[in-house]
Amino acid sequence: MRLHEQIALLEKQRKILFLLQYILLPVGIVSFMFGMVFDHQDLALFIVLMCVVIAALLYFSYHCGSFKRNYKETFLNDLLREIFDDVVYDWKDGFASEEVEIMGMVQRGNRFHSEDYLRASYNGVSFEQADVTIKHVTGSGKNRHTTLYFKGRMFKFHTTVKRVVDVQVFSEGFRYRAKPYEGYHMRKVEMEEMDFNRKFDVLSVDEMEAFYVLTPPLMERIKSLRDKYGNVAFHFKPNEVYVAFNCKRDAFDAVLTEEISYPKEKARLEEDIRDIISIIETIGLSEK
Amino acid sequence: MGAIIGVVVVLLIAVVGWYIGTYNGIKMASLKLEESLSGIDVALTKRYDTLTKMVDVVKGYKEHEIKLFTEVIRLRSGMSMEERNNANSQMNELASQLRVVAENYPELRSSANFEQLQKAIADVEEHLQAARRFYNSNVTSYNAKLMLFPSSIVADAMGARRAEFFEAEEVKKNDVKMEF
Repeated sequence: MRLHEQIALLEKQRKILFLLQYILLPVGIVSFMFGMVFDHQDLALFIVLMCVVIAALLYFSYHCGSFKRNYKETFLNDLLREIFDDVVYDWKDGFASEEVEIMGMVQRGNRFHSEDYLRASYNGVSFEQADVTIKHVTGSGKNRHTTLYFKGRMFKFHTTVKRVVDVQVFSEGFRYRAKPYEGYHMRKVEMEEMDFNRKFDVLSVDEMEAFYVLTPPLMERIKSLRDKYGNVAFHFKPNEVYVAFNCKRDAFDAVLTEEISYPKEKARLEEDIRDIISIIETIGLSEK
Repeated sequence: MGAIIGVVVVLLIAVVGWYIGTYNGIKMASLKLEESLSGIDVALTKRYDTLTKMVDVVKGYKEHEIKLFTEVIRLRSGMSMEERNNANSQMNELASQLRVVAENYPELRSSANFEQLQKAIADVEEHLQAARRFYNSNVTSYNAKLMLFPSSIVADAMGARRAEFFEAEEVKKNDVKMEF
């Protein structure tokens, strides 16, 4: 299939999904709820509404998967291979919850979802990344309460820099932080820069090590990443660096409310890819 | 009368409590300062050892000049901050001399042993800078306790003296990038 035909197909799928997500599904759900509250006698109508909602949901989930697959095949796969080496990409797969727990940045929660798994290397730095959503749901029925622990992107960079102990950096607004590993007595470290101390919490078992890892240029770079992404977390471990930042939109995904166009989609995906390069370059992973 | 005595007792307890708390705070800051100072000593010793190894490798090229530098550098335990700064400056001189020698002798530059030592010295320099920043950061908070009112009252009573900074800021610019 040629590119313009693929884009035309995607646009058609996008319109269907837009109609389902923003019009039919909400109308169906509202009607269904009204049916439950006010019209118990009319069982036939209630069943019909219920069937409509279920059918709409099934139709939506089928088209959603198909749309995502087509979108990524059309725009993303080649772009990733153009920029990175040794690319392994699976939009359906993500990090396992255990892996995220080992990263030690966000609390575990009891609802976990991860997708858009990418493993590749850039300038000799191999990395993994995925979109991650972590929620904690308590209670049930009317007392059900959902707390969003994290929604954003997580990265795992493999480095050759040997560090002796762990150093963690959390921006001040990064809530629901993971508790330190058992047996680790992480202490808050006050760096020499007041502005950095105001914006970040630095934790390490060895204060000296925190000063060794966080050089003044790196502290400046971390501040610039915070300015760009909002809440960020870093975990420097021996031979690995983990990074997490909040992100409202999933990476490498289309925006359903906007018409599909090649230059726009390419620019959007390049921006998502630039985020990875920016972290590698900003924290100087490729320099050492 | 009883109420007045009560207030006086409460105030006295509060003052004594504050005094003990501040005294301990200054003591803790002082201990932390000593701990971070030992970090500088360790880094200086490592730097000296690595430079000495480099001198051994360089032997035969400019032995006389280099030897003079190593003889001048003296490291001992219990050095004052001024002596530490002097030793560090002398090591800077030695490092730049080694750099000059390496620039003039490409075969030395390309030897595996020398290359390994170059990496080692870069790592040692990074540790020294981290130790310096950690120590100076502790000096700042310790000195603040000594100077700011009302903790300065307790510090004066303790006879605490202001700590000196380890001035190696310029060293980093000249020294860390030892590109041979």
